[in-house]
Order: sequence, then C-alpha cells, then structure tokens
Amino acid sequence: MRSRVLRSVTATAHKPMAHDDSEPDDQALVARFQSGDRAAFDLLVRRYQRPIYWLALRYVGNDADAKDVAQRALVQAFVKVGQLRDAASFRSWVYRMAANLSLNVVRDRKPSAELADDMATALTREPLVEEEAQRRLRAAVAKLPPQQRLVVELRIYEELPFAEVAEVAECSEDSAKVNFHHALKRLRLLMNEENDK
Amino acid sequence: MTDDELQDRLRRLAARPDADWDAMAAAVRDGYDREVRNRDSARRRGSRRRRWGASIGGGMLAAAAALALWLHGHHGARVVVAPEPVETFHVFEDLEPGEMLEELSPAEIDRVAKAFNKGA
Repeated sequence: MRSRVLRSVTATAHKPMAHDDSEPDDQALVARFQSGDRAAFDLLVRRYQRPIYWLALRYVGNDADAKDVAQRALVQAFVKVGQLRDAASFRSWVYRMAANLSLNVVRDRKPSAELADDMATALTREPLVEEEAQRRLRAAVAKLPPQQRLVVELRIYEELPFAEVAEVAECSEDSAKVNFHHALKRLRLLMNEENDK
Repeated sequence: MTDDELQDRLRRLAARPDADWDAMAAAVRDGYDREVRNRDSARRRGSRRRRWGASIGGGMLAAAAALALWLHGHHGARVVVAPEPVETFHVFEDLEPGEMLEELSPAEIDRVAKAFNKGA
C-alpha cells in the first residue's frame, strides 16, 4: 500500500516541467530576449531554474554548489545565447551548460569527498531497508562514466526524449540509447556487487 | 531486477527540494548584468587602446614623414649659395673686437682681412 502511494506521488512529481499553453515557447522568448525584452529573460529563468538546480544537486550533492552551478549555467546561457544556432534548442543548451559545470565541480573536488547531507535529507523518507537500497543505487549512479550518467539523468529525471538527450550529450540519438542501455546494465552490476559485499 | 524496476528506483532517487527561487532568479539577473557590464567595459578598454594605438601610430608616421622630407631637403637637393661680394664687410656694433673674430668663420676672417688690407 505504502509503495503504491509512494509510486503515485513520485509519478506526478516527475512529470516534465510543463508550462502553460498561454506562455510563449522558448524560441519566442529567446527572440524577445535578444531584442532587449527583460521580461522574456525573467520568464526563461523562472522556467529553467528548478530543473537546472535539481540536475546540479544530483551531481554535486550539496545545496550551495548546486545553486552556484545553476546560477552560473543560466548566466552563461544568456551571455552566450548569440552563439545558439537554433533558439528552439535553448533547453538543451542550458542543460548542457549545467551538466558541464557540475562535472567540473565534481572533478575539481577531492576524491574522498562524499555527498553532503543536503542530498541525503532531500531524498525520499523510506523504511531503512529501502533507504539502504536507494543509497546503494545513488552510489552506483555516481560511479557511472560521465556520458552514461548524463544520459540517465536527462532521460530518467528530466524525462527528455532521446533526441534531446543526444543534443545535450552531443552525440547521436542511437548513441544516447546505447549509453542508456549500458548505464542500466552497469547499475544492475554495481548494485549486485554491493549486495555481494 | 527488470529495467522498469530499476528505472522506477532511479526515479525515486530524484530529489526535488524547494529553494528560494525568487532569490535565485535575482542572483541570475545580477550575474547577467555584471557579465554584460564587464563585457562592455572590456570592449570600451579595447577601443580606447585602439584609439591610443592609432594616435601613437599616426604621430610616428607624421614624424617619419617630416624626417624623410628634411633628409630629402638636405641631401637630395643641392643648395646653391650665392657668393658674397669680396668687398662687403660686416659691422659689429655691439661686440668687442676679440668677440668679432670669434663670431666669424675662417673664410669670413680671410675676406675681412683682404678687404682691410685693400683699404689700408
């Protein structure tokens, strides 16, 4: 019963960030921003700050670094928006900035650094056994190679279609699918290894 | 564990804590404004540097042109100096006799001496 309740909660929580139909799409907002409309800038920030922050938080594991990454990614995205070939790809563009910045933070960190408490407390409150399994899974995700992890992050948490995942990860759609498949296989393997210990 | 079960577990890992979104949006706005200001001032510095460079370059060109003209005037063209008539002699009103001689070149002293001897 409990798991059913949890499942239904998470199912609604992971719906993609749908915006109102009355709101203009990214392409229109980017065009308006480029012609000097600050309201368009604010709308885009409001639209993407949450998913960008959550993506960064899953990578860097603490609130302070995640906020910093989210802010820098958004600022960079707007400063360099002139380099964006297709304004409709703004979402992929921002996600790519955030993923790259997050990876830099993780790379620059000392190898011994563990996920901070911010991430642990932010996770679902589940019974101990379940919590332990989730902890192992989280540790396994952190061990994935960067490209596989990025694909999992974008596909599972942001629910992006593979075409867009490929755009963010700068690979072909087929390669994104293969990476996703390998990532799941590897996660299962890592989970089993942990179980055997 | 099937793929679906694993994906379901992964989804449950998704932490979506709330944050102060207004503060974050304001920080993004400030960060963007700062970046734009920095970029503009860097551009202005660049154009100032270019202006300085252009004026220094222009000055050097002008100096080089003046030097070229001067060299051309002194070495390229022969200056024909009309010889002074031998009988002409200088009158030095404000100078002492010794100073007079100091002021004259050897050729002029010669001329003065000749004119003096003639008169004598």
